[in-house]
Amino acid sequence: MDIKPARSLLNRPIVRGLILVACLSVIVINAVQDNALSLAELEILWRRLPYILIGNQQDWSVKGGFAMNIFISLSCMALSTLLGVFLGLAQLARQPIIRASAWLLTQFFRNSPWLVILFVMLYLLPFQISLGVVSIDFSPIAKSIIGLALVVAANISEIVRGAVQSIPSGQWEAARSMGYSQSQIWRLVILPQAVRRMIPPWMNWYAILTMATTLTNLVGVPEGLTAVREVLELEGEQLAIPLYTLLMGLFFVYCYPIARWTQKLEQRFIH
Amino acid sequence: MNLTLNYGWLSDPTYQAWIKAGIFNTIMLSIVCIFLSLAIGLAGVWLLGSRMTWVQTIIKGYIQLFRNTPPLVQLFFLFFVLANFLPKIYDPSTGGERPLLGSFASAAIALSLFAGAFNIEIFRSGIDAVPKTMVEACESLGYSRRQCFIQVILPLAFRICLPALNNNLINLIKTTTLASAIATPELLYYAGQIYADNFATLEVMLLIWVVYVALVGLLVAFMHWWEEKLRIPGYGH
Repeated sequence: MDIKPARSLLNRPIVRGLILVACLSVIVINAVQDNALSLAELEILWRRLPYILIGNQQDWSVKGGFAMNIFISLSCMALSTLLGVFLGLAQLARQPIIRASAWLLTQFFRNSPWLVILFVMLYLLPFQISLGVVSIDFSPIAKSIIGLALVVAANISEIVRGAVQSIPSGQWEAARSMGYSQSQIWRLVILPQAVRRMIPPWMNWYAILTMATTLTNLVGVPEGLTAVREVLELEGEQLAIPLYTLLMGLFFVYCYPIARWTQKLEQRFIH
Repeated sequence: MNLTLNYGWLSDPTYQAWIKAGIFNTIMLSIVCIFLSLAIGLAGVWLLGSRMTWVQTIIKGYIQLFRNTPPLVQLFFLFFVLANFLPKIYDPSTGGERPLLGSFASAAIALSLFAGAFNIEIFRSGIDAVPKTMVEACESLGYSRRQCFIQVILPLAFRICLPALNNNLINLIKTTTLASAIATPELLYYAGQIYADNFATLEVMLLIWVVYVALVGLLVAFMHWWEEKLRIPGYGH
C-alpha cells in the first residue's frame, strides 16, 4: 500500500529546511512589497521583540515574556516529577489504604481541567504563609506553578505506575529467587528498567506542560501571550498576525525538537 | 488558614440557571468538538495514505503545527485575528451585523483542529498496527482501496487505537475550558460571572471543579466500558 519513492534530494531534512526558509522569506518579502507589512511595522516588531522574549526592554533581566513560559515549565516539571514519582510509587504500595488514596488523588487531578485548577489555586492559596520566622509569598507565578504541577504530577504518577507494572513479573521472581532483598529488587532490577520506559512519556508531558503555560496568562502571569496582547494594545491590531505567528513559532521551535526526540527514543525502545 | 465556605448563594434561581446553562453549553461544545475532531482525524488519515507526496506533506505539517503550539494561542489567533477577515452577517436579533464566527463557533473550530491533529496521529498508529497480511488478503479478494479501508482496516484499527483516542477525547473535554477566555458561555465562563456577582470566588471555583471532575469522570467510566466491549479477543492485553 505504501510504496515509498527513492530517497531523493527533496527528502533530506536539510534540503527541506532550506526550502521552508526560502518559502517563508518569499512570503515575508511579498508581504512587505504588498504593503501588508510595511517596513515601519517590521521595525516595531524588531523593537518589541525583547519584550515578547523576556518581558523587558531596558536590560537583560527576565520579567516575563516567552522566557517566563520556559521558567514556569521547568520549575513546574521539577516539582511535578517529585510529586508524581511519590504518588506513582504510592499507587504501587502494599498497604491498600495508601494505594487507594494515591489512586484517588491521581484520578482526581488527572480528570480536572488545567484552567479550573489554575483558578482554584489562585483563590485557594493565601497570598502569604508565615512559618514562624520565614514567610513565603505566593505570587500568581508561584500559584500557577503549583496548580500546573498538580495536573502533571497526576499524569506522571500514572506513567510511573504503568512503567513499573509493565516490567514482566519474571523479573521480580528471578530477583527474589536470587536472594535480593525488596529494596535491592527495586534499586537494581525494577527501577533501572522502568525509568528507561518512563522517559519518552515524561518528555511528552514536558512538551504538553510547556504549551499549557500560556494558560497562566488568564490568571495574571506576565508570560509570552500576555506580552503579545500588551504589544498589540500598544501598537495596534495590524500587527496581530505577525505577532501571534511569532509566538507560535517560538513554541514550535521549542517543542518540536522535544517531540521528535521523544519519537526517536520511543522507536528505539520498541525495536 | 481558616476556611469558611458559604454555599447559600446556590439557592438563588439565577445562579442555578447559569450553572445549568453552563453545563449544557460545555456538553454541547464537547460533543461538537468530538465529532468534528473525529471527522478531521479520519479525513487526515485517509489523505496521509494518498500517493501524492505533497498532500502527505501538508497533512504532516498541519499535525506538527497544531501539536506543537499552545491551544490557547491557536484559539486567540482564530478568534481575534482570522475571524476579522471573514465577512460579517446580518443579525436579526439586534438589527446590526455580527461576525460570521461567533465565540462558540471559533472555539469549536479551534479546539477541533487542535484535537484533530492528535486524532490523525492516533488513527495512523492504529492503522499501522493492523497486520499487513490483512491488507494483502483484502487486495487479493478484489476490494478497492476505499472498500478495504472502510470495511477492513478501520474497524480493526479503531479497536486498536481506542485507548489512545479516549485519552485524547477526554483531554479535549478538559480543553473546552479555554473557550471561556473568548467568552463562550460554558461552565467556566458562567463561574466567572457568578463570582463577579457574589464575590464567593473560592466557593464557586471549588464547586465548578467538582462538577468538571464528575463530568470527565463519567466520560472516563463510559469509555472504559466501551473499550472492554470492543476489545478484540486475543489482541493485545
